[in-house]
Amino acid sequence: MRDAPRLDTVQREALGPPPSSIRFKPHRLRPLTSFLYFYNLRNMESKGVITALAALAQETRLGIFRLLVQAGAAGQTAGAIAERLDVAAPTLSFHLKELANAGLVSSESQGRFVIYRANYPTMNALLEFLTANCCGAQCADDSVVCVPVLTPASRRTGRAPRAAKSRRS
Amino acid sequence: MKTPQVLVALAALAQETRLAVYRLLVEHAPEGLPAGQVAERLGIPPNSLSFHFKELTNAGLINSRQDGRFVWYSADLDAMNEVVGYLTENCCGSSAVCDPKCAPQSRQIAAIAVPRLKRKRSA
Repeated sequence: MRDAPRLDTVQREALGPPPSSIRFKPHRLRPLTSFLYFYNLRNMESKGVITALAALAQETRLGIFRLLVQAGAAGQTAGAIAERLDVAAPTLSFHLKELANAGLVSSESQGRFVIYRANYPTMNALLEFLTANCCGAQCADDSVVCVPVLTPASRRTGRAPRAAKSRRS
Repeated sequence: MKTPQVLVALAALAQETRLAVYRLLVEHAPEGLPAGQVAERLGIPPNSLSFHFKELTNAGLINSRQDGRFVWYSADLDAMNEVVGYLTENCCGSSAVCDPKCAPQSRQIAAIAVPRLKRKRSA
């Protein structure tokens, strides 16, 4: 059975449909199982991550995203971003659209201005996806530390991160 | 980590196969896996896998070492942390409003981790 030669399309057409005894019965025999749903979801997730990574793999967009991450919940207006990064307005608009498509940035219009904010849940999900199951079971072992520390700014400046401080005490 | 390096790393990861390879290696982090096992687990033909390994190595995301007849690949966790760190640098600035959101969902795991990356060096 395993060594049965593979039929190409022409041959298959020439042979006609298989007899009903071996014909594949659609829903009764093989319904859509949870497995299929599971893989659909997983593929979606992986695709979303790739879109996000591809969006970030460009200098201007990376700069915009980092600026918005630093801006926090207050966000930044498009004008302020353009000024900070020295980017022309149409270029910026294009890059912001790319980031928004990847789900990394959300926008909200306030009167005449559009405020852009970093989408932290997406950012966290992205980082989680990259570092999932890091080191397998060995994280339980204190000597191996591979969990990324997401407070590098404070690490560099030597200021203890807020969240980490409360955690440790 | 400088911006160009981060860009190369992100571009390297923005490909389905490489992302899968990288995640697998992160999972087996300190010691890594032999190339053959990576190919077997992900169902990737060895020649295309070798191309993707090269890309990831060029991006500085993985390291390789020769062990007899086998080449072992392992994720460079310092690089991983640096990329993640670069993305989240000065996260939320000084405002306390979004601090909790900035914390990763893996905080439970992070709680047992020491802030600085100390990796057991394999001999």
